[in-house]
Formats: sequence, structure tokens, C-alpha cells
Amino acid sequence: MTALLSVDSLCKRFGDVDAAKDVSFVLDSEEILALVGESGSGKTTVGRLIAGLENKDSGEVRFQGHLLPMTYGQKDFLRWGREIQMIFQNPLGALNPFFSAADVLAEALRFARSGKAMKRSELSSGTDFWLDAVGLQSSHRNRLPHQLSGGQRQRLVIARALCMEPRLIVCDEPVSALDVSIQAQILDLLRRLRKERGVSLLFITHDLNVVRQFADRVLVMYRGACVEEGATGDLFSNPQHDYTRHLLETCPVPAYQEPPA
Amino acid sequence: MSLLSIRNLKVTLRTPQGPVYPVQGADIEVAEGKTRCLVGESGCGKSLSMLAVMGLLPAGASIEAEQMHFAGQDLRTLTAKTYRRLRGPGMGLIFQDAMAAFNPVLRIGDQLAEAYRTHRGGSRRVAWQKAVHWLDRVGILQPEDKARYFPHEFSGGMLQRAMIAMTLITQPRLVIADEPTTALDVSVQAQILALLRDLQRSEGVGLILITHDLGVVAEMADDVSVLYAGKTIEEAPAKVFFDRLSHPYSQGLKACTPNWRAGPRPVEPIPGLPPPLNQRHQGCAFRYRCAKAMQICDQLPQMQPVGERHRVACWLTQRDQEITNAQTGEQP
Repeated sequence: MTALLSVDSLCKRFGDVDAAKDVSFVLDSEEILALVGESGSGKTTVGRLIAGLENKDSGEVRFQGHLLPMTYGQKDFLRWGREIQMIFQNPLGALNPFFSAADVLAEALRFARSGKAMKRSELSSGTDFWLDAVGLQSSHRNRLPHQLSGGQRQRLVIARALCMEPRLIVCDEPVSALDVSIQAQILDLLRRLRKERGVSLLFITHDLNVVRQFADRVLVMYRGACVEEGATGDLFSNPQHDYTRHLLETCPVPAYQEPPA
Repeated sequence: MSLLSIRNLKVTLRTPQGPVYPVQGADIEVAEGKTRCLVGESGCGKSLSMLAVMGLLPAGASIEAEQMHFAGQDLRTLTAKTYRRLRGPGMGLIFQDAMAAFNPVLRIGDQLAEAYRTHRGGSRRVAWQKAVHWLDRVGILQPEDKARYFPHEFSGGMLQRAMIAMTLITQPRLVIADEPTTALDVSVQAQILALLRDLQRSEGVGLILITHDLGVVAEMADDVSVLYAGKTIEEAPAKVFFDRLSHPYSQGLKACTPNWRAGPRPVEPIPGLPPPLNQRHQGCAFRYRCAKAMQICDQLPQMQPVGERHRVACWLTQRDQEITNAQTGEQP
């Protein structure tokens, strides 16, 4: 069986900075792969390259065995755009401030049908279905982004991504801006949707505590290059690379520690 | 001896949509030279109660409190002028967003020197030397050169260090740090936390650390206070906080915080959202989300001591205590 996504020697330079240097990995169906590293490590760039939001310098990305065009305007670009969706860290910045929750989903649903006309009743039942799928109520339908809480906004963005019925969602720090109790709700939702809808997640984050309990596999990036890759359990119990060990040491653990004398 | 002692602080904000009650009974106690962490979710009143302590609330806000003492002074009696004298040498504030806290068109050294001269006086030359000295103390290499830099020439971590230097240059007795590392990378965060801890020890200042990150609490706290919907619901020494929390919300907070050392443990989200703050709590604010809510939770629980420096506002603990007392034959 071929992997859902296979990335081969992906490179991208900004000026004289290597944001992605020879990055290669595979992602299976229904797998959650975490991409970790500090700011500037290139993890976001890799996510954006895969989602087609940046143009690569060199390398290949194959999706279900097909070579992705990766450049806006190229043939089939939009078709893949539907299969690969993206969720950003700041939902307020990803939502049109003048669009209500229902408008946001209706626009996405129309796009999912390649702009073919949809009956109003069809649109309305579609929006309700997806609002419900991410745990929003119908009372949220007509709210504007600023009238929703942070967690509700992130749910709406997830619903917008899901209604395309994608195979892969690139999540760029989707819970970093949220409070812990809301963060847990969103992670729970993402994990449930992975199971129910069979999507794979490329989960970009700096928070190793979240990675440990959420991801199946982990890829550690440092200065644009992959330095370590492994199953979550192995990587945490037996980190090989110095940088991984450094990340683990500096990661604050929420448990009581004896104060140093 | 406690440096800061706040009892039952209430803050009311007037808005065009009517009054809002963001703080409804915050208790905050900081001992001299100790660190107290304030934990809670956004909108639970952490930052606002600290602004109340600093006397920096926006116009139209009103304060009520049973007690508001800082180093033997009653904060409620201070005028704008006397408050001004207290800030700086008395208490200092470290903000989350260091970039927004510095003036972008002034050199870092000048801004530190200005803080020193405003509160401690002295010549420009002495103030500049102090600025360089403190940049050195917070671990900025080549402080003489860096003092001539502008804020945009500093990295996020360096700016946060400079911010700490600017707060400590006036040698306050109490430092309030509002999410000082939230915007930083983990390894930079670890450095800044270590720096804060070292300086807090060597200078002997009391530190209030506002955070929502229990990992930071574990690294820093002597004591912890948990706020929910504007009210302090539990306070405990750090060890008790992590080992045996009493309030269902504190327990929920801990259960939904991922911890890589604990292995693959499923997170248990707390269902629902915090209540709106446009009315005063009639009962326990957490009862709508609490799995253990009882009839009596419709009445407001008060903070009750359950151990040394450990107090909880929950009917459940009170009931358990009464049962224990009845069994041992003690009078409550």
C-alpha cells in the first residue's frame, strides 16, 4: 500500500536561510504525525509547502501516489487543495470578520461542489451538519467571529476544513493560543474526527507535552532539517539526537519538583 | 510575614452594555521573598486583579475588598500620587509582550535609565551605568553595546530579559510577572524562568507569576492560587497543589494538562465554558461544568482552610471535613 503523503528531499530557501533542507518523510492514512521544533526551525514552512501555500525550490511531494503540482495556477491545483486542508494557529486571522459562522461554511461547501449551485435548504442542512460535527450549536450559526470564543472559532475553522472532506489536514499550532481546558476539548475533537472521518493530520507544534499524548509519530526539525524521526513512545523514552534531548530537557513538566537546594 | 495580602477583591467595570464583574472574590497572599503562581484560564480575572493591586485599572472601574495590604500599607487609602511613588521601588510589573512594552524609538539603555531616574533619582551618567549593570545582570552579553540598541534590534528573549532588567532596576519588593514567557520558545522560556528564579532569590523579592501553564508553575511556584471566573477557588503550597488538589476545577485543570513524562495518558477535557461575567455569582461558578455538583452548590461556597496554607472554596470538601470531624468527634 502506498503512503497517503510522501515527501522527498523538499527544499526551500528564504534569502540565505534554509527553511527546509532536504526534508523527507511519509505519512500514512489516519496517522497523526507531529512536526516539532523551535521557531525558525522550518516546521511551518514544510506545512505550507505541502498545503501549496509556498512554492518549493526543489523536491517532490506525492499525495496518494500522484505528484502534487504545488504551484498556484497549475493544472489540478485546486483539486488537491480540497484534499489537503489547513488549520492555522490564530482562527481570528483565518476568518473573514464580516462572515457569520453559517456564511463561512456555506462558502466552503459551495467550493467543495466546485461552485455548482446549491439549494438554500441543502446549504442550510450542510452547515448545520458540520457545525454539529465539531460541537457547535445552531445558536452559533449567525454569530460573527468576534462573537465566538477562541475555542469556538477554532472549531469553526476545523468545520470549514472538514466540509471539504479532505484526506489530510495540516494543523499549524492549532491549540497553542487556547486555554488548557479548551485545548483538551479541541485535541479530543481532532482525535475523534480522525477516527470517524479517517483523515490524517500533520500536526505542527512546539509543545512536546501535547505531542506525547496526541501524535503517533514525531519528526523533529532543527534549522530546516529533520534531525530525528520515530514513533512517539520510542522518541520520548529514547531520544537519539542531542537537539531532541535538549528540547525534552527544556520542556516544563506539570508535576511537582523538589526545589533545587 | 506576608508582603501582599488581598482578601475578597472585587472589580466592577462599567461598560455601555451594563456592568461587568470580572473579579468576584480574589484572595492573593504573597510572602516576602516567595513566589506565588496565579493559575486560571483567560478571562478568569488573573491580570485584572493584578492591575487592581498596581492601581492601574482603567477609568470607570471600581474596587471593593475586605483587605488590601502591601508591606503594611492599606492600598485602598492611596491617592494617585502616593500610588505612583509606590510603583517602581514598591512593586514592578513584567508584561507578556515585551515588544509592546518598550518605546520603539528610544534606545534600550535610555529606557532603563529613565525608569531608574524616575524612581531613584541621580545623574544621567549614574542611571546609564545602572542600566548597563542590569543588562549584564540579566545575562545580556556586551551590555555597553547592547544598551545602545533599539528594541527592534533585540530578539524576543533578549527583550524579555531587558524588560526584567527594567523592572528590577528600581529594586522593587514585589514583582508581578504577567505571562512573561508565553510568547517565547521553550528553550528561551527555560532560560528566562531560570533567570527570574535566580534574581528573585538573590534580590529577595516577592514574585507573583501569572500563567496558565502548569509546567511553568511546577518550575517556579512556592504557592499556587487557582482562579475560576474571577474568584480564588483554591490556594495551596506547590507540593500540595500537584499531589492532592481538592477543588474539582483544579483537578480537571490538571487532568486536561498534557504531561509527556506521564506517558500516553488520554486528556480529559472539562466540558463547557466558563460562565459569563455580566452578573455576580449566586452559587459556585463551576457548578455548571462540575461532575460532582450538588444541590447546595447553588449557594456560594467560602474559602475554608483544609491544611497548612491550603484553602478551598468547595462544598464537597466542606462536607468531607464535616464527616471526618463527626467521626473523630471534633468540633469544627
